[in-house]
Amino acid sequence: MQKGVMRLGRVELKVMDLQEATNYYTNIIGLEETGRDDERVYFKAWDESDHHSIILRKADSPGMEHMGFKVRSIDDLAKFEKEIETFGLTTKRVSDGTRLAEGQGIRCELPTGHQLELYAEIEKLGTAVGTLNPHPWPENLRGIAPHRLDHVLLTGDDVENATRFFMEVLDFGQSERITTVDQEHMIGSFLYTTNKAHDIAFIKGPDAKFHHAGFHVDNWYDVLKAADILTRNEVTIEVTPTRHGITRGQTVYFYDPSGNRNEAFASGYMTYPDFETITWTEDKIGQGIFYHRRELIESFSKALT
Amino acid sequence: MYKININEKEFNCEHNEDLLKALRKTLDDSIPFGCRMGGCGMCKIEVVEGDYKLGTSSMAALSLEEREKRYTLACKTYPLSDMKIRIENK
Repeated sequence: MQKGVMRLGRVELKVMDLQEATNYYTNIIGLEETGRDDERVYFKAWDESDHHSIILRKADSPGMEHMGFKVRSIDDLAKFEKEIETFGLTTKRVSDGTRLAEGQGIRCELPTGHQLELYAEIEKLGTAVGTLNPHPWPENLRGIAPHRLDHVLLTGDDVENATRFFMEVLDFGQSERITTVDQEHMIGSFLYTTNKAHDIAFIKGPDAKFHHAGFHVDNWYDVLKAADILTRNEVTIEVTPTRHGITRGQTVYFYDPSGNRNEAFASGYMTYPDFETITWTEDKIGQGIFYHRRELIESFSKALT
Repeated sequence: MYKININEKEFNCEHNEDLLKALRKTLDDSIPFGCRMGGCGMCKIEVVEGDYKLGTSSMAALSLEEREKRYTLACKTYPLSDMKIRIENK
C-alpha cells in the first residue's frame, strides 16, 4: 500500500523584514521567486516542480507560521481529516485561494503547538531543467541553490504524542529517536514518510518553536561551498560544516536575516518501510548531533524562533 | 566611540556597531548569543545606564514591556552614549 503523505511540501516562515528576507532567500539560498501577494513572497528551489515550497510572511517575530505536507489525492485529504479528528485533534478546512496557487487543505494544531496543513493540490511550474531529455542542473544558478526543501526540526514538550500522531495517523516511520539514558523517555524523534532519513523531527523544548528548515544539497563539497557562500555574504554561521551522527548527513547551520535557522544538508542514509529505529541515549546526544565535536553548543538548543 | 561597562569591565563600541560584536572583538564571551539577527533573544541584556538605538528585533523574544524596562538584545543594540549594561541570561 502506498502511503498517503508524499512529502514535506511547504514551510511558511515569518520574517521581520520581507524585502531583506526575499533578497536572502533569492540570492544567498538561491531559490526562485514564484509569486507575491499582499503579505507574502513565494519561492521554489530549482529542482522542485510545485509552485512553492517556502513562503515568507511579514510578522513582528520570526518563526514558522505553518508547514504543509502534500498528500496524494483529495480522497486522502478527507480520509486524514477523519483520522486526525479520531486521534483527538481539531481540524479546519483551509479554503481555496487563501494563498497563491494552492488548492484546499486541512489544518490542525499538533500536540507541540505547531500548525500542520495537509493538501493535495498546488499549481505545478515544473523544474528548471524540465522533464524531457533534461540536463543535470540548470545554468545560471545563484547562491547555495539547493535541489529542494528537505525537512524541518521543531521543538515542543510532548515529543511522544507528536511522534504517535505522525506514526499512527499519517503513517510515518521513525528513523531515529533520542531517549533518556534508561531509554524510558523520548526526547528527540526523527520521522520519515519518504525514503529519506527524516522529513520532520522533534526535539524536546519549548512548545510551538521552530528550530530549522533543511535544504538538500548534493554532497559534502556542496555543504562546504554553501559555507563559503555564507561567509562571502557575511551570514552568521552557527555550526561550520560537519557530520551528524543522527541521519549520517553532512551539514552547515546558519541563520536567515530574521534569525530563523537554516541548514544545507547532504547525504544521509535511506529509509524503507521496515527500517529499524535507531536509538541515541541522551549521554551520547553530542555525538549524535555533531559527530566530530561530540558536544552540543548552547545556541543549538536555545536559539529558537 | 563609546565606552561600555559590563560586569565592572569596559570595552569600546563604535556608534554604528552592535554591542555584541564590539564585546566579542575583545574575546569576551560573557554574553551568550544565537542568531545575531534580533530573532532568538539569547543575547538579552539589561541597560543600567545610557542611551541606545534598538534595531529590528523579535517581539516574541523582546516584548514591549521588556523594551520599556530597558531590556534589549545586544546583537541589535547600537549605543548613542557611554553605557552600563547587565547580562540577563546567566
